[in-house]
Formats: sequence, structure tokens, C-alpha cells
Amino acid sequence: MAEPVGFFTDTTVCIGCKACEVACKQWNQLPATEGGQNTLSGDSYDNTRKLDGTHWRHVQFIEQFTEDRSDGRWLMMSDVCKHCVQAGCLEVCPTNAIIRTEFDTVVIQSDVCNGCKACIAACPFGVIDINPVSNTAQKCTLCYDRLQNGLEPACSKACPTDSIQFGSVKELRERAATRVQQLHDGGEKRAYLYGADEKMLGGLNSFFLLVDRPEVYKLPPDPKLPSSNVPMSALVSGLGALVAAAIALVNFRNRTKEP
Amino acid sequence: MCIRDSWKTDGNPLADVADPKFPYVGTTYRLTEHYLSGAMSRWNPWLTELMPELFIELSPELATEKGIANLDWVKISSPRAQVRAKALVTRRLRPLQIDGSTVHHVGMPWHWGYEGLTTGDIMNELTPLVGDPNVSIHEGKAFVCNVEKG
Repeated sequence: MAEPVGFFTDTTVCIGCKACEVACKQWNQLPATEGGQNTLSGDSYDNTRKLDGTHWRHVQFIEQFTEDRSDGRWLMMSDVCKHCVQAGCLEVCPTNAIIRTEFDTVVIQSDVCNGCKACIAACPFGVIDINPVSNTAQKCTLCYDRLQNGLEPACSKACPTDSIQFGSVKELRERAATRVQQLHDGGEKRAYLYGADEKMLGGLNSFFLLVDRPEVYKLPPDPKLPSSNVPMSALVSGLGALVAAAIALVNFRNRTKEP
Repeated sequence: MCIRDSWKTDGNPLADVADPKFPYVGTTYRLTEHYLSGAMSRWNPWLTELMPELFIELSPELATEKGIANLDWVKISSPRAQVRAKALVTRRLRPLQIDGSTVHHVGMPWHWGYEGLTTGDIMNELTPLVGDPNVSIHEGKAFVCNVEKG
């Protein structure tokens, strides 16, 4: 297997140009909302709103201003599939359409997916949705076809500020740690990495540098795998079975007592 | 504002200094999603979905004063024209303090026109035909205007 690869998205240098969104759509030939005749959302400069089957990159705009504007900042963050090492979508897929590739990325094979939507519910980040063109679940493939041909993904190639960096996860983590240290030394003490270590779902191959709580960027602070519900569900099911068995036994006993 | 006054052509009236009919400062600018007047970029669905409609950015203070809610239609007028756009209320626009009084400030992109996947009024109809005093470069990025709901 090749070395695991992923993205390091440094939100502090994102300028919100959305070149990543356009480059992604062009390379992957994804349709635009309403054929391009979208409506103004009224929420800052964010008019595509979320990641889904036809938006595999999405730039969030977060306006934080105090009433008198003595303190204010306009946060931008290019969101994408996290390519989790322990991926919830991959865990629940009943047809094995979702695979882990030789690059340690998570890819949905459209020709195998039957559109059951289990992965949509399983993803703790809300990344996946149905693409209405194929009627299958789709998301970022980390440009699997480009990787196979030695090219970097379209979004990181297009990013003019290197907010999106592509590379081996090991090298990206080192670079990201240096960047956090640089920001701390420069006075931005709020900078930290989200998902850059094994604690979060075994590590996110696509991780982020943030300057506010994860919730501000609509990211879960503590994402969970669907299988984390299994022990409790199993216990409840087991107890239920015991109760049912006890009732059956009592009833059976009562019946045998009858003359 | 220092302006070169030799371009007194038809359709280019200038407002008087501190004209009460045009109490707000207006400015126009570009967005990353569109190119110039949008004649090319407004035909590309991948770009128009990102910036689908013309808007005017105004501060919550001015919006409250004028009874304008986010996404309401707004009429913007200058001595030269009147155009319409949807309101985008944001604290990024801040009221200016000029000579001890508060002067509100509005901003709008000028990438729209009458054809394409997305159409809208032409913001450059508001801007004056004036030049800077040294080299006569067109200096229409700052002007006075009025804003009303509608």
C-alpha cells in the first residue's frame, strides 16, 4: 500500500474564494444547484450551505463581530470529507460499495452503491448525501482518479493560498504542528488541530487547523462511530430477551399447572 | 473627494455636497466568483450557484433605521440612476463617524446585468463619471446614494 495521504486545511489562510468548490465540481463533473439558478441564502457569502452529493467541497463563512465592532473576525473554512481511519460510512455499508483505497482514503463506488442511505446516517460529519444524477450516495473521493495518475486533488491544486494542502498524512501532521506553533508564537493562542491524532476516529486523514470551538465550524467535538452504540444496544436486547424468556417460562408453567 | 470636473456629459449629474436626498456613502466592488461585469461568469452554472443574486450589504444599524430585513428588496438611488438589489445585513459594514455625526455606508458588487443564468440590475449606473485629479483615472468607487425598502 502506498503511504496514507490526506488534506491539511489551514483555515487561518483561507480567503473564501471558493476556487476549491469550482475546481472540485469541474474535475468531478458535478451539477450546480438548480442549473446555477440558485437563490441568495442571506447567510454571509455562503450560498451552497452544506456538503452533499453534489457539493464535495464547501466553504463556510462565519461572521464574528461584537455589537460595537471593537472585536471582529470573518472566519472561512473549506470543509470536506474527513477520510476517517475508522470510517462510520464504511462500517455500515451493506453492499461494500464503500472501500478503503491503497492511498488509505475512503471512496464510494457508484456502480456498487444501491442508494440505501445507511452511510448518510452513519457519517458523524454529515458529509455524504444522494447525488440526484446517479441516485447513489456520493462524497469526496480525494480525487482517486487523479491520485492513481500521480496528480494531487483538484481542490488543493486550485487553492491560491495553500489553505488546502495535500500530502502524506505523516508529513502534513508535522507541517501542521509547526504552523500551530508559529501561530501561538505570533499571539494567536486559539489555534489548534482538529482530528490530527488517533484520538478522533483513529485519526482524520483530512484534518483542520481551527481558531474556535469545533461547533462554530459545525463540526462535532467528539464524533462517534455507529458501532459505539453496539454494546449498549446489545445489553438492552439481551435484557429484553431475558425478560421475554422469563414471561414465557412463567406462562408455560402456569399452563402445565392447569388440569 | 478631489475630482476632475471636465467630464460634464449628459446623464452624469453629481450630487451637491451634503445633499440630504443622498445621505449614505456607497461603494462598489468585485466578488471572487465573478469576472468584471459578469458577461462571461454569469453563464457558468458552477459560478452562478456560488453567487446567485445581486445584493447590497448594509449594517444592522441602517437596516433597523430603514425597516429593512435580511433578503428584503432594496432600492438604491444616486443622482444618475435607481437600481434594486436584495439586502444582505451584516456587521462587516460599519457606520462611519464623519465630523461628529454618524454616516451610514453601503456596499454592492457590480457583476450583474440583463442576460445570463443569473440577472440583476447594473450597479455601475449609480456610479459617477469622475476622474482623479492627477491622471484622470476613473474614480467611481465612492459616491453618495439613498437606500429605501422596496
